Amino acid sequence: MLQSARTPGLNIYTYSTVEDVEGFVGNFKVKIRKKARYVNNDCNGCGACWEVCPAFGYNEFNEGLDSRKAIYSSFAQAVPSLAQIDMDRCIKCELCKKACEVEAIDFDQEDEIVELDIGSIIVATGWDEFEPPTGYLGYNQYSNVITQLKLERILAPNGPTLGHLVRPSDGKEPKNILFIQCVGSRDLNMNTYCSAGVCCMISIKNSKLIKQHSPDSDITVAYMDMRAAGKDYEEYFTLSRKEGIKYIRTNISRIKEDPKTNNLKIVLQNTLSSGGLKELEFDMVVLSASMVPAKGVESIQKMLKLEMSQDGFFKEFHARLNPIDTKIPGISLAGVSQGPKSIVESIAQGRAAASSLARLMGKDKYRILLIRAAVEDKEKCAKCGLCELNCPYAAITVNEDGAEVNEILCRGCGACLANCPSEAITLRYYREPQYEKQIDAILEEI
Amino acid sequence: MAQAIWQVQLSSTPRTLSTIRAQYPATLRPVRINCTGRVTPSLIMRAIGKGADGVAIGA
Repeated sequence: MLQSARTPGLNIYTYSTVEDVEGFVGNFKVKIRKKARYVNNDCNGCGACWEVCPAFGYNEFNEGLDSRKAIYSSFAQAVPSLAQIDMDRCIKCELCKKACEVEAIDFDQEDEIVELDIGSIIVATGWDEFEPPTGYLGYNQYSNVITQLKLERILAPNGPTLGHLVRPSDGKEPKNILFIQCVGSRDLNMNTYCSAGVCCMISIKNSKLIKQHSPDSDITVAYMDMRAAGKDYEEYFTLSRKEGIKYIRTNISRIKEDPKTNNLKIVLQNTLSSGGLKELEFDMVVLSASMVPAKGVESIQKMLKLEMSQDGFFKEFHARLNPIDTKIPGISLAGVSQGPKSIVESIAQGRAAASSLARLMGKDKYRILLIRAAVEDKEKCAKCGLCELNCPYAAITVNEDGAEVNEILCRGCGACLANCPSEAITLRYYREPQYEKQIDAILEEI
Repeated sequence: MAQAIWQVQLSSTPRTLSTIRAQYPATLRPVRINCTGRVTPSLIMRAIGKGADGVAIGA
């Protein structure tokens, strides 16, 4: 991240949202809202301000395991290394302002709108972790049922517990741990897709990590299938089994908590053996929750007029032959925005998107087929606006002269033509008389 | 007894009856269009008026 921040010609807008996108390939106009940090660029991230701040807030980065101050840095390695103030939490005591040696704190700062001329767009909005409904497998109900992201923060050496594995209820080290796979994925009641084997590999990785630190831990992974498809993945999985991590093929339907110990009791049956039902007790349960589209993709979809696939991720040009571009020329997809995938595939897709758009933008001209709508007889146009309303690509605007078609945005679908009551707009190469003659010829002998 | 069938051949997913190699009778006459949005009631009525028994719009 630091390297990209230092790359000349690469402008990074953090703590910002895309407000509006207009235009078409090669000529997009993008408005970005830079949210006010109340800290200006003189800040060097020294942290003197958050040392003295008396107000606390929810630490999103550490999944709520600890708190951060009202003035804070998103996380230790944030790029740019600037503080920001959460005004919902700030009590305006101004102790931070007094502590700041470079006078970077500015309570009067406002959101700034930046307008940019953009040639092409890559949508790389990523993913969020699926949040299981409260009570599902004890999530948000029993303190020792957590999701993978929370476990990652607990195990992280720079995390709230400095990498020591502790469980939420009493801070003790859990020895007996269960991972439950496919939470919120491959599920007809939640998300039907599979998160591309990412959660399978995360469980194997985290199990091995825990086992490495505490060889006497007893780790079990409850799975439907272990999807270790990728270079070296199967060998990694085999290694984890050799280290004593247990994998049981079973579907867990209910978890109960022992109120005295906060341990979790589960009745399960190994479907690959004839053992029958067993009741097992665990110190901690980790739910491998699926990937879901990032929060806020609906606004990106509306702005760019992109299609979504059935699973809620952005729709690619072709599921097999072109998972990189979208149907809109000049806009491509990278990473999980297009669908769950691992780091390897995300990088491959990111490079493919950059290469695809570089090819497009490297030419001076952009070629289109002339299969486009056209208003050939402006006098017939009643300016009713039905064409503009029905165009799925927002390619038509109606002004005083009549309807005007943007030939680059137009994709030649003909919806405008079908809706025009005056027959004023037509689709080149697919005009009404052409079809009339075709029908007449086909049905001539009748 | 002829039927006219309208086939949509979208530029991104060519999936006409010929591509999937389905066998269909000679009474089914395909007409290629860019997008189902292009089909208007007047075209359908014209086909029926000229003697078609029905019009099927395929994706």
